[in-house]
Amino acid sequence: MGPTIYQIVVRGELSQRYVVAFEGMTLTTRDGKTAITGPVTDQAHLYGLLGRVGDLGLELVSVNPTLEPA
Amino acid sequence: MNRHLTRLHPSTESAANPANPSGKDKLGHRPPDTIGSPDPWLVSTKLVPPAPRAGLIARAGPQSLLQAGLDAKLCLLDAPAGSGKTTLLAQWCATAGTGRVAWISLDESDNDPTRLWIVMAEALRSVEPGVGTAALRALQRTSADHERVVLRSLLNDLNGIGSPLVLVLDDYHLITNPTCHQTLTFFLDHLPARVHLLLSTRVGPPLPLARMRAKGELAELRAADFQFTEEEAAALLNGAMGLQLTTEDVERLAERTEGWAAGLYLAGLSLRGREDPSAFIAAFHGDNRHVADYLAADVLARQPEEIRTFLLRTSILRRLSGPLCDEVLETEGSAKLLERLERSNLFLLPLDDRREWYRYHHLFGDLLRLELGSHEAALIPTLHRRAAAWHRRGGDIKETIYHATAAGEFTDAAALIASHWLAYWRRGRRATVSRWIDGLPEEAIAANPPVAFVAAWIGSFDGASKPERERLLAVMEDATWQGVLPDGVSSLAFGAALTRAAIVFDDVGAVLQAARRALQLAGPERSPFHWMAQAALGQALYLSGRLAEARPPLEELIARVSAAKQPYALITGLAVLSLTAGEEDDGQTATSLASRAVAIAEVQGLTAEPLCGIVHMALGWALARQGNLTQAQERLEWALELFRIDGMAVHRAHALVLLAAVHHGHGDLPGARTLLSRAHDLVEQLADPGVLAALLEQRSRMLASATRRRAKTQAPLTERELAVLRLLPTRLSTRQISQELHVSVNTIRSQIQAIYRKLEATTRTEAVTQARQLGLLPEPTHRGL
Repeated sequence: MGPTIYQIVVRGELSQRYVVAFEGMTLTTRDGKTAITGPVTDQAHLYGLLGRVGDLGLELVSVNPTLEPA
Repeated sequence: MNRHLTRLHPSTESAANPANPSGKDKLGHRPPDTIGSPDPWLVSTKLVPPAPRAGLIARAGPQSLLQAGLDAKLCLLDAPAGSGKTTLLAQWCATAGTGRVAWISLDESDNDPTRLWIVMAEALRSVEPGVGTAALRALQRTSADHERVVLRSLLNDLNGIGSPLVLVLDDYHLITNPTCHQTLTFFLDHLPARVHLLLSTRVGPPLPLARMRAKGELAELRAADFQFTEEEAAALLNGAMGLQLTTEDVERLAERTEGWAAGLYLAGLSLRGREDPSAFIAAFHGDNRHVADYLAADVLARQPEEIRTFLLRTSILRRLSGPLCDEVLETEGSAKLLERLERSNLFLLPLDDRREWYRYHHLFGDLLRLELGSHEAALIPTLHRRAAAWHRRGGDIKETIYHATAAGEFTDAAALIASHWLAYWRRGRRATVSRWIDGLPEEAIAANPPVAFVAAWIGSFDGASKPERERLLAVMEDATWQGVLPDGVSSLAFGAALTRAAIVFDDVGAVLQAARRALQLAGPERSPFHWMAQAALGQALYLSGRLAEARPPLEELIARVSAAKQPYALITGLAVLSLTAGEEDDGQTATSLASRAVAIAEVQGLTAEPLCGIVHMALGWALARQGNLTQAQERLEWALELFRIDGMAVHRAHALVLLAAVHHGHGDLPGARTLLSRAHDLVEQLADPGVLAALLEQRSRMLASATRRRAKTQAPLTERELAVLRLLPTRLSTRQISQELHVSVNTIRSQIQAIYRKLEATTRTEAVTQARQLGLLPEPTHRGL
């Protein structure tokens, strides 16, 4: 079983420079929000990503595993 | 590198290790934070509150909340990056005027409990000269039992202060080490009334906030408290930043940024010199982009090329100075540029009064790094490499390792770690070394056998699993590396044997072999850890039941080794000798040896270390022999707690057997039985339990006969109870038993309770076992019953 695909949504539309902060994830923007989507290896990885969200002063809206590929 | 050795107080004691007066390792490096010469870094940067910046407004709302909050034991500022926490604190500090404020700017390297408490003690000492001296001395040791020794001493000192004092911890979210949180919790729980703590963080800290809130000991300022009002926004933008915005524009900005300080400030910077601010604001207001993203990009774009390049490329540095930036950028004149940047308020914070060192505001630094990563990613390793080289020349090992690791120069980083780790380990900075190792990828460790030794050794103390350890030992044992290791250890083979010998895991025989081999390999020059190997040998011999052979190496050890130089080896030696003496019924010697071991462990601050478990166990057993069962139980339980890491199953079983004996002595036979059953489960899984199997057997037999003797004096079971008892070994449920015997379920239930009571059992299985031992039930003749 491989890593789970997670979608982390934050408020505000982020430019592509933020891709560097979320290695291995893609960023898509819509309606004033940004979805950070990609494979997450394990809980530690997930918390690392969420930590980055906080470090960058971004407002977390939701975190969900998705069933479809990114 | 031009650092001044600033001292806040002349240090009157020579706290350096008496056996090594200069405190330097073989390579002439002294780890920072030694009491004899406080790290200049520490003193002039971390402990100085940032000067409030010109151009930032005073905010009545948050200020009065803060002022009120200071009455509480803990005032917490918990809000996202860029909310204005540090600014508020800095402004308050500047006006507080009482000089009773101890300030600490926390950073990632404070994630080491020893380092954290050194910083805390130094900060408190800077305000109140008598405080923390003893604590700092204790923190010099190989490991510090922070709670029992360091904190008690610090809290004691604080109890005696004459007037109130505030300790500020800025950026607490950077602390993630659980021991740091635990010790701070202890500190808070016992904080004297005159000391107040101010903590700023971005993340709710794992401290007992709910408890403190309920007791009225907590004051909080949260994100909502930091939001700028429109008046404040106007004061910032039009007042402090000199813009001339209309009320409507200010309103729009306040709305768009939601009163977020960093957002408003960036907006102000973006608007400087614009001809049509309203148009910009309208566009910004209608845009969905994230505030910081939009504005930071804009501010950066409007900088002259030279400045933009400077900002981006120096963003990789945790601290900036003129000379360091010159090296990283391969340019000149950075010092002047830094001064200019600081004056124009581009999120550059001075770290000292001499304008020598700066850092970027965290949020801005992060954004700069993102931008750098987007545009010049390929350059990043080079920049780190240059920074590593600069720090290396300056002798700052920690920064060198950080940048070398970040540059992907793992070979260099590994070499540095292998050379310098021992000095840090000896000063109780295990967490720091652990972090260094964590920064190296597996391949780098595999390629550097001396570092594999460090990883294996440190890993053992951190409770690494057997497979992890085996992997590292394989690297060490396969290597073609010859000769002495960079830290002075005599050879890789010795290191490997020592690692196998020091942590027993599940095979006493293997440990004995390893310890013998280690001593053979230690060499004529006494290698570091040589005496550890000897202690391990003595321990292995004892665990194999070879008491007569164990004594000579242990006696040599305790005669030759000094507590200051080799505390672990000495206390292990004393503890094992004590256990040996106990086995030979020499209670007096056992007690005196164990007491000596504990005393040394306390002075050296080792009492909370897993390797110190054996000391507690030895003393516990000696106390038990003397009949002091209550204290014996305490000590043995402490030992058991310390033995919970993976590699100490043998010791855990040993402690359980001894603890069972104590319970037996108390008359608590069921308790003793439970402990022995746990010990039995552990011993079953050991590859080679050594003498433990026999000890366990002996103890079980003693317990069984005691149980039989006791049973004879108990009320006998009635006929009906016996009938129920005979059915207990079957798989029948209570309901089925009641049907079988034609009695109500409730009757059966109370009969079962009576049976348990009389047999001193708490479960059905126990009752059956007891009954069999007492001959009330036949032994099982076939499986399953």
